Amino acid sequence: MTKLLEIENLHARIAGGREILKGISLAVNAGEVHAIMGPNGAGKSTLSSVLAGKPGYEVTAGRVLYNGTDISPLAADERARQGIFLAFQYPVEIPGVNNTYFLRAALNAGRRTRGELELDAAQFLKLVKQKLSLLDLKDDLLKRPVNVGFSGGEKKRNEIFQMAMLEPKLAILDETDSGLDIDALRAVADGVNKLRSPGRAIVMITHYQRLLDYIEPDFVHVLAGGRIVASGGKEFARELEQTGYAHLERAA
Amino acid sequence: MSAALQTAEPVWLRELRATAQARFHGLGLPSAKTESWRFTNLRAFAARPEEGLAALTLKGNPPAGVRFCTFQSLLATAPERLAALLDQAEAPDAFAALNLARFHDGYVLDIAPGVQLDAPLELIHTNQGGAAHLRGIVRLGAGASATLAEHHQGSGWTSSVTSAALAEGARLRHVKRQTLSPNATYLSALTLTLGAAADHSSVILSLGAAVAREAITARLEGEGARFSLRGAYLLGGRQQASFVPEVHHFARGCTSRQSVKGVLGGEAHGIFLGHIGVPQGSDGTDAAQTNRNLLLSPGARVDTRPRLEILADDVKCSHGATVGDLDETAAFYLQSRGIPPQEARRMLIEAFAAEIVEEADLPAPLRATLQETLSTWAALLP
Repeated sequence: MTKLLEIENLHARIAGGREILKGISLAVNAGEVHAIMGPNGAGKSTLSSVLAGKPGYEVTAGRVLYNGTDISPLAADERARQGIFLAFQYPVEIPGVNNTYFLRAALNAGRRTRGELELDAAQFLKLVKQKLSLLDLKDDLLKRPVNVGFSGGEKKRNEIFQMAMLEPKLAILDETDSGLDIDALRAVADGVNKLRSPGRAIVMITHYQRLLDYIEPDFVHVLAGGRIVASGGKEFARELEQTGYAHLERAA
Repeated sequence: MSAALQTAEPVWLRELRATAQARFHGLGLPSAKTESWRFTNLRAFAARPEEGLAALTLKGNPPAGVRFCTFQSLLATAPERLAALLDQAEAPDAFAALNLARFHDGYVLDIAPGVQLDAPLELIHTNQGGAAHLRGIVRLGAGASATLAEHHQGSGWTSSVTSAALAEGARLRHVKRQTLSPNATYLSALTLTLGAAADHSSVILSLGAAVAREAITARLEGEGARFSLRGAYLLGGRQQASFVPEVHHFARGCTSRQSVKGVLGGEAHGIFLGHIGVPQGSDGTDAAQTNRNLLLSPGARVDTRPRLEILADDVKCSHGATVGDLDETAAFYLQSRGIPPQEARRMLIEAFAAEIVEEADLPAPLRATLQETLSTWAALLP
């Protein structure tokens, strides 16, 4: 069976800069949740940026296969329409662009690519209501410009709400837990857990152990110095909880 | 038609025109040395075609408490009233003098004291391609409240001179859309006089014409008067537009806001020359002025000069100007959700401009019209 995501010996850098990813290999199947942990400077943000297709990053060796196809020629928007979603560490405030308008444009762009009919305003709102109730969110976020004036928690919940609306096959959560208090973290984690499904893979990238207390991964990887230095299953997550991952970094 | 109007004109009007024409020649066209004209393409204003057909219409009938007369109808029915009105006309510069010498029509809009109008009064001026000189006189009685929506369309060379006087506690919400054809020339001068606690706001979208100029002079003469200008020049190709707002805080405790935004593509040229004047004694003044610009291409250009002249002590004044390009981080965020780059770009550009409309105090249907105008414009962006 084709893996949903296969990263093979990936080397990457910010254009013109030093190499940050130095040979990452990782395979993710549909239905799995992988956690990638690591300290600052390990290459976590670079990895999520490269997967999402952020301009300004260069792959210098290796490749990323999504559904068996090399995604390097695809721009960020094409990747998104094929089902790759990045929940941002720092969701961007966009004054003047209404959240609902933005989401409908995004959803319909994906539907056009898949040859589906676009949703009209009424169909769209019905879907919004359904997803809001799933995530136990209020609809006032939708009436506001994208992320403008949102609290840290609201921004992260809005990311998960977008994920719920766009129904990606592969969701990359970049430090989704950062800057959240315990209640907000719980709310975000509940949302993510509800979006786990056999057809969807989730890769969560985090600095902190505590996210794993709320979203239980199937696999855990430790990223240090631009490489994955250790991997394991659920039991490895529990082991890391006892030992931390500092000793693994040193080994790298 | 102006020629027809002029042949039938009484002696006093012909004399008034001749005096204004002499003043026009005496003043001469502004030169690049005149501060408020220094960036402007003066050749476009100097190159004036023959006078042509132009029509001024008020949509619907004026409601109770509102008197609307065109100069043409006044001349036919009450020429002495027109004479009295024109007697007070000022011609501070050459174009205002020329306008007085050549106006083809004009209007007087009187809102009686205390009258509160909910529905906007809609005024449409259509130039068929020649030179057209239009004058407007707007007067709001004490405590009156109205919304005036102007639309300037067509082609040719248009000059519009308007004066508006708001008595104590009156409130005027003014909206203008300028969507003339891309080879047109448009020159507008609006002079406002605000009494105590009067409240004026203008929202101006300048989209059309090869060369356009919006001069707004606000004289805050009564204590506690409020003035707001929200404007946008949205240009491409080789268009040029200037906004020249001048606010004089002649009384104490007045508030003024100027917020003008520019979006410039191609080789377009935007000009903002803002001025806030606070003479001695105008304490409690609260004035702010901003000009923000988005440059979409290397050939586009902005000249921006916000100015403060403060002689009073107890004032709160601020000004600022920015020139930048599209926020790449925001563009990536939209694209990361599947929105194609060109659509993302249009969304961001429209959002930048739409802020002028969204944050304006407007009746909902009028806001929708302006938003529609902006969406149509954004959809046609290259």
